[in-house]
Amino acid sequence: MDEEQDLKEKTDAELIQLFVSGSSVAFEVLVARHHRRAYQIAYGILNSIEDAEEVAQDAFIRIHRALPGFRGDAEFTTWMYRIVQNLARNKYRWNKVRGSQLNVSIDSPYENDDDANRKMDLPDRKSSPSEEVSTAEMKKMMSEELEKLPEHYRQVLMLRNVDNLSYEMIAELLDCKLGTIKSRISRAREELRQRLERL
Amino acid sequence: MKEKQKLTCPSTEDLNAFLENDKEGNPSLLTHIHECDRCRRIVEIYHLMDECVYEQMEPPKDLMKKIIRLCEDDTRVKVVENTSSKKKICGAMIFLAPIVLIILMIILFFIIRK
Repeated sequence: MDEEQDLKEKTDAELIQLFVSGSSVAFEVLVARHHRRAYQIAYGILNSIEDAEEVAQDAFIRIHRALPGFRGDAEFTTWMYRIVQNLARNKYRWNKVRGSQLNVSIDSPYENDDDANRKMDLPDRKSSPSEEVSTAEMKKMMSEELEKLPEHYRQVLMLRNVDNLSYEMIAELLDCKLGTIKSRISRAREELRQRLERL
Repeated sequence: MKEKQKLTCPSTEDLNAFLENDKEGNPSLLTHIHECDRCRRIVEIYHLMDECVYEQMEPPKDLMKKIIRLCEDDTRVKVVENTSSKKKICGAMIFLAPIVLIILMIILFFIIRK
């Protein structure tokens, strides 16, 4: 237990070193630290719980296999994002061609922080029960409308909300320029808001 | 009053920038959002969108355990593969060794006879 606590304070590079020298707990800590983001990125691209879960799992199996040879030229997170991105893109293309029920083998070849604080500085308004209900209803409608948004808007809104994912990384994940991402987020939000207003 | 408010309301891009905490670009924006119901409502809806998306992106609770189990299984498969290929090599050597020995003895026999 103490060992795990100690490991939690280590950097990714230190954990990798420990894993390579035989500590399986170090890998578990690495998974605990990064699996959320891997899943969220995959979900942002694929919009499917099952597919995102599969991609996150496959990504970590690849990482587990390749970690002993990881040279540390890039940050672990950058490397992980690339693996998730490649797997998710392959899956996305696969789904488009063959339908979403089919799987991509993890052995198939690849094709190919700035922390964004999203807290808002608005007055703290405690909501009444009726307001809470309307908020829940609003969120339900939002979820439904989000599904109907054009793909490029939906993806950018999703990826914007991945834990600590910078604009630069979103731009890289979606193969876009930084400016495009910023304006697309703005347009996506506005599009969704207008759709909600029309309901 | 409403008409006047509408005329001076910031663009949705500016409201987005506010949401992204880019307040330095326009310091009067915060005051405006506090005072203008329309703009405050827009920002609140944007904020709600982020909350809604964030909640949707929550990974399944057992995902981490699944990943670790799969990686362990993957290692075991590798070990089994390695062990079984070593066994195959050993088996082949045991099988081939007497044959090679017999061939060598036959060759030796012919050499001696000559």
